[in-house]
Amino acid sequence: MLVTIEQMAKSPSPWLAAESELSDSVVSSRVRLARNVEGLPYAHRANTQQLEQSLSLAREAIQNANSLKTGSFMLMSELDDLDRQFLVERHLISHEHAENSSTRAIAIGDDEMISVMINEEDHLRLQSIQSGFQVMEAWRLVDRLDDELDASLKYAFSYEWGYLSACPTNTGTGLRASMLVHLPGLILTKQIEKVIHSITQMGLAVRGFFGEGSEVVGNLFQISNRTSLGTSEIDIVQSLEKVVKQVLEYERRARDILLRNARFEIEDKVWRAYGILKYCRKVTWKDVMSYASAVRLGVSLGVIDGLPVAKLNEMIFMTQPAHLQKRYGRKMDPGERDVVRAEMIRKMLTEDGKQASGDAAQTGEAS
Amino acid sequence: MLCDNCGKEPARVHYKEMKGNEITELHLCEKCALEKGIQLPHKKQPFMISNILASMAEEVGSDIIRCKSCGLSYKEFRECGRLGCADCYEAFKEQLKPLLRRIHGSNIHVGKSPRQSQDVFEKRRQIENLKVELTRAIEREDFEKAAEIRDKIKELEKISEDAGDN
Repeated sequence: MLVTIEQMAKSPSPWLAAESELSDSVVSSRVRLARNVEGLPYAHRANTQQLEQSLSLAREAIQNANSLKTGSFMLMSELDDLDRQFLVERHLISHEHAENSSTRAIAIGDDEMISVMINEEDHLRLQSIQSGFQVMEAWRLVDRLDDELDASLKYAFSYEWGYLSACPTNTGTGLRASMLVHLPGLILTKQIEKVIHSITQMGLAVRGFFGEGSEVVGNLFQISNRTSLGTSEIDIVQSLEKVVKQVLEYERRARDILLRNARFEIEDKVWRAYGILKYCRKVTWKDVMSYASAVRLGVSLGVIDGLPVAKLNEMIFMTQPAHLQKRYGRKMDPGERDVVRAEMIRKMLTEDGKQASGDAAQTGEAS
Repeated sequence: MLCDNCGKEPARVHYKEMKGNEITELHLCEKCALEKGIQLPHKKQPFMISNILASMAEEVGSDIIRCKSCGLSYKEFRECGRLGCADCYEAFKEQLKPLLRRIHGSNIHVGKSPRQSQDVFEKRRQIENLKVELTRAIEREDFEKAAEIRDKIKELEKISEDAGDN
């Protein structure tokens, strides 16, 4: 099935379904592999003819790969600015890939859970995104895709240093595994810096919502491995799992403390945020990220009932600027977007006639 | 804008924190952000490699080395943090060895290999392991064992040369 960006814009990425383990705290798991075709210079050093060569080799390999055969293949040069921004927001391409677009392409699997960027920093960047705490599953899928592409491509590889990437920080396995984790408890109890510091000490990196070089919004942190040489793929993935589990345990303890010492403050904060999302008439995306974070905390703590985590995922992804404009099929200035965004959220929160509710006993106690 | 923490350097890292009902923004310079363990947004270079490269820059002689395949010089690599092609790894091998070790804490690949290379890769790994055993055998002056291991290595090297390396 060939999917267009217009079709994609109608619904959130399938990996936002939040049906797996720990989905309230872990939005998504991602694994990417950096691969290069032997005998061709890396993208930044290649001329147009060489770039076209790596593009056509990659395209051919993708057409033969079972995992991607039925997906979509888009040349970046055929997409306009808004489409490219949409793909960035969708976490399918990097900012860099969107910026300089000639001879670049993206292949996307049917369910958007696997994809390949072509001619970014490396000739191929294979990616798998899964919902929740499923980084091992993401590795399994991207490993399979890698085998399928390996059958038609000859990768640049050295026995000593593994897969040879444009940047030496990716050489070896070429693997970067990450999870997008929600840590409001650690922020509210002011322990986040300490925890980030210890994660860094353990050889992992902490980044923002869009990965490398991006800002932290909505208390969502991307935790990932930093080294790729000298450790096997499985070991990298398992040590990430271990560290994230530990961080989630710290987060749980922080939330216990908050509930014990500041229950009404937390409940107030959660419901105020919910109220703003539901009744506001104009809202920026960054504000949505902060309010949705408070509401997500409320859902995790059981302060709010009957609001699925998937709906919060939908809210933060579908109201991003390019998503909004693609969905409504027209360009809008920021002011107009803020109004449409508020309207969209209002609909989301009243859909199905079902509304979120608090625990009656506790609400009574509070009043 | 200057750094909120030290007030001396320009703020490069903008970071948001939720305190009570307020969202406070922190604007930090790279140094203070690093101390707080926050990753830096670097457009051109991943920050880790630029830092490491800067700290080992004093190899003046290396700058003029060029990769024969793509023409990239070591100086250009130091400036942009990207290699030009797979052959650069061979051209700058002596410079990359310590660099890779600094970045990854290792300079030997462990893990997956392309299908075509698997057999050879496996043999290479066996050879590496045997070499370690050989050194140990010599250290404890077990020369009989050492000779045995040396023969094994020779045999494996022969097979791997026949099979791989084109």
